[in-house]
Amino acid sequence: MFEPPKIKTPVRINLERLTVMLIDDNPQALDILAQVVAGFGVRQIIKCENAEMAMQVVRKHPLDFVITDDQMAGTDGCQFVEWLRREAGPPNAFIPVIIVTGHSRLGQVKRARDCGAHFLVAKPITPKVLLDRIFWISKDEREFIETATYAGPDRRFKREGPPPGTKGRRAEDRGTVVGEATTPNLSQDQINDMLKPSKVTI
Amino acid sequence: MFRVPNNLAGITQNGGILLSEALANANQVMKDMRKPCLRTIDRLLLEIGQRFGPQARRGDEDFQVLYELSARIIDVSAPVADLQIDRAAFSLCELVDRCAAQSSWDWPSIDVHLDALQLLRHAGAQLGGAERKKIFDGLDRVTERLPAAGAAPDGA
Repeated sequence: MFEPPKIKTPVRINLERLTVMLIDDNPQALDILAQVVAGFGVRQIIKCENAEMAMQVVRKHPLDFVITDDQMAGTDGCQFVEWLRREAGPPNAFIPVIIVTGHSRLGQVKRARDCGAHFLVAKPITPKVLLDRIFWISKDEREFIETATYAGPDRRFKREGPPPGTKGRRAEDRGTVVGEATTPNLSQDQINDMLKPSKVTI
Repeated sequence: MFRVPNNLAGITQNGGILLSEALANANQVMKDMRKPCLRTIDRLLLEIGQRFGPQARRGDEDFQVLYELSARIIDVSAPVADLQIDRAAFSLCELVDRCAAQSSWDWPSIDVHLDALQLLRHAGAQLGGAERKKIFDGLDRVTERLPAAGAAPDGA
């Protein structure tokens, strides 16, 4: 399973002004999650016991972040995220979403990856894992993609170009042939200057 | 492709609470929820035992019912993560899935899982690493006897 890049853990965290929506059809699980998120400092927490209720909230309130269970009766978490990305309209259509799941069949993991969520996290969720994912999302600079088959954050976490021997499908993919140099090589001093650590004042 | 605003971008820049405080608050929640979650797990284990245990009249039970009961154990396991009962419940979900794919129950394997759930619930905190490994290796072995259920098609 993909592990997001390690980020330097900050000392302070301010979630007071965020509005967070939580969706889970298990009331006790919903309560646990709400209390954990409140412990992190979030003051505006909207709890929904099903996706239909969540859709009504999305239509009426600006939100900053959603955590949703996947396996729910009726509309499941992935279906909710697909609806959010396609039907909710800005700004809610672009908000970060974490899907949480207990036992997942392989097909469900693929669906979660492809429905437009930012992360899939396995239950039981520990506070540290959840906080790590929130930090990661705060640093996320991935662009959004909207196509006929997918709407959500760019699923590529790395930019390594197309597989060897193939042409890229995206306009900004570069070719695999580097070609001849067109400018003089850098001198050793120029290279050394690029690598020299410089003092940064925070 | 286009850029969208990230409302979480400023969460580490100004004010707020110490990270250690945030985690301490959340861990306190876990401590406070421990007993209620154990009560829920006990109710679920009782129901599972009554409907699917060796004393029940087992025959044509609905796979989805046991799957959901086991999934609900995982749902409330965060405050009792030290017992690792969620891992046994996860394995039971996987086993039930495989039984459903074959449309037939493997009751001896189910019984192994039910015993493991009870053991972890009542003695999980006292078990050492080696004992736990034995339990989970055993669960994996009985589950792996059945072929994995086919993955749902992409987009399904």
